[in-house]
Amino acid sequence: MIHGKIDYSHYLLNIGIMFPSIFLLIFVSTYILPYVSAAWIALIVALFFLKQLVPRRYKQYVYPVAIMVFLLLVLNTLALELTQSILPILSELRITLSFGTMATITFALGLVTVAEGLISPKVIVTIGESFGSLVLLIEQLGIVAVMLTGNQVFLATESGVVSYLAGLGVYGPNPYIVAFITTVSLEAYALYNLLIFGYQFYLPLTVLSTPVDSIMPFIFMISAGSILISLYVKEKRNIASRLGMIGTAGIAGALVALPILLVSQEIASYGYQIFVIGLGVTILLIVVAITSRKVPANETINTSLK
Amino acid sequence: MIRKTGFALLSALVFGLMGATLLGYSDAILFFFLLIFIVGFDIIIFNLILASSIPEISVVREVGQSFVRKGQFNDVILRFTNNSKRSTDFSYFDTLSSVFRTEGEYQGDLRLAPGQTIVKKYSISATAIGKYGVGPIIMYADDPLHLAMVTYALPSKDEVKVAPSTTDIFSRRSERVSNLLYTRGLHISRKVGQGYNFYGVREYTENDDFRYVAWSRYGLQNGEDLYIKQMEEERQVNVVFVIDYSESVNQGTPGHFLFDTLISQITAMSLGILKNHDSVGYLVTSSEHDIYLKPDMGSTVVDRFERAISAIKPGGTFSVADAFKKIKDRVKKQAIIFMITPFAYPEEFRTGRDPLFQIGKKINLVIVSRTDFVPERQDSVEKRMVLATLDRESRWIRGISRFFNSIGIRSLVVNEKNIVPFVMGEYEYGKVTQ
Repeated sequence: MIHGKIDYSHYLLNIGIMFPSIFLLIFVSTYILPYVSAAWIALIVALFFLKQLVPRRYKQYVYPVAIMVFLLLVLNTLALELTQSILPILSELRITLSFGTMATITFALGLVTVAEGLISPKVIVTIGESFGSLVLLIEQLGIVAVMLTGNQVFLATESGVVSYLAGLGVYGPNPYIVAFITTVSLEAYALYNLLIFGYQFYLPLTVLSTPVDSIMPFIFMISAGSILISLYVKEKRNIASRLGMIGTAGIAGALVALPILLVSQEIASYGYQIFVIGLGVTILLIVVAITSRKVPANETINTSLK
Repeated sequence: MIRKTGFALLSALVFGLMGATLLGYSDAILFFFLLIFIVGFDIIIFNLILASSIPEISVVREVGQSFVRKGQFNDVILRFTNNSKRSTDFSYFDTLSSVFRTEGEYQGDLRLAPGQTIVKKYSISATAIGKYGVGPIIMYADDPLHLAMVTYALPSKDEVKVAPSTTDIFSRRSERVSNLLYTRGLHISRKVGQGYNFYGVREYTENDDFRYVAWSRYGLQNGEDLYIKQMEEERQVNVVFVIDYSESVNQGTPGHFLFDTLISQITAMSLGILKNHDSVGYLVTSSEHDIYLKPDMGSTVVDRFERAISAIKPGGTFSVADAFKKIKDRVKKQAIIFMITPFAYPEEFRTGRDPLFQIGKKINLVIVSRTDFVPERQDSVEKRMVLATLDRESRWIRGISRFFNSIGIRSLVVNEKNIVPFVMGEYEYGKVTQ
């Protein structure tokens, strides 16, 4: 907002930055909305609106207070599992701790982070919210991918899966819960293998496909372009030289990143993809840290006059 | 130097890459990986090229005058030279105190080719007296994405001493009619009694010396009444201003500081007293400052006072007991002493008949209320808190004023408007009663 007028270009760029998240949110919603708890989603989304309504000085406390209340409710529920001799009113504050609740909360958090990113006046907050929501929504995309390809397996081995989930405390599962548990288990197993044995075991979205696979690269390109434009758009000084610098950075970055990616793709079959990507990023961050050291003062040029 | 924004963006990208990699989503991996490298290279190129060129820029500052009066414009010249082998884009600003009003290019953007020198000029005008630093010059540049920044402070630093403005003290220096407010022309410090000049006659009393009977007026009204001749002589009155120059007078807003107002008014009053052929002296005191200028006639003492006060800034703490001790030790002549202080933090003062206060000097304690120097507050809660504090302080200092009056030290709580009438009124009274 500048002088009471709405800065439409800013919000347009916000939409551009958040475009992958918005697209994925719409896509996964069509598959998972019938299975998630509407009450939980309404409650979490209400927090977003509550934050907009409270006075400015209290805005920053809405989410932390909500998290604290939620954690206290979890604590109360766990305490009730151990003992029943708690105040009667506390017994009323028991919440359902289940995979279904976790899945719903994950989805609702994605929804709220997308909304926060869209309305944020700061570009860096929008970018942060975009990446945060992307991670949550890619997780949901993985669940949908499992739902789309795994339901046949689920139906074929219904009795076996049902008994397995019953062992986990999940009774009468729906396809979303099955897919959620499957995806989370695969991720955890992949991480376990990576950390303990040093190789990749199974990455859900590498082998499973979704209808959006062909569109997503273009959507990511829109987001990347919007991020670079947003970071640059406030520039007023030395535009020509700065455009040159950002162009150089783009070309140099792509020239180094693409060969690393190609190498990582080539050796993915040996299980070294994450290793190559991790090594590339680590070296880059080390170079950033080394070059960011403070430049020493040139005492021979500028000496104190007094 | 990478900024917090840069760290945050890189962290978010790495977090996204990790999430995408664990799920094996190649499109997202490509997106995050490419962005990490573009952002990383933006920072690396900035660090290697622009950030390393900034320390090669040399700057020389030339300040027109080191001693100026308040409100007087002082020219400053900055010469930037690029000693590197690359063209360098950067921004700069000269660090200035908030008391300076500025005109010209004290800040801006520059592009310097190798070996090029560019001159920038600006003017500064102080709104308060004291000694103020000019500099250091800060040069800074950032990358196109604003993720990294280099800031370079040049060691060049100058000082400007600011004396009270001529407009503040002009009415005292000039021969204006306003002078008649507190002075009645030359040679007013007369002491009636013994002397060489005839002053007038009055009715005879038993205590009068019979030698001065005005026989020519004998029986003027009823045939037997006696009158006595009164003589007068010129006497010089010494006035000493004891000024609390502690941190407590450093209150107000640029253009309206308590210490600035006090010094201007004291300077103006001093010139009025000097015009009356009396002597003026000063004791500027606090735990940090201790300046004593003996009472003297002539404007030299005021000039010395102005120079002394323009070379310091209020600092330290003030103690009434210490001030009384200094007066006792240093002011040897009979003098009218005005101790001027806001008496900040009055709750720390304990009343009691301390023998230290009985030093046999004619002391007037002028307690200046700080109410007029409280900056306007926008927040209503803050405003109420400030008003409540001031109200409490006001009650405290009125109580302290009553205490000093009770032990024979004339005292009054004054504000910005009535400090001069009170001091000059006491000066008039002191002249005839000394």
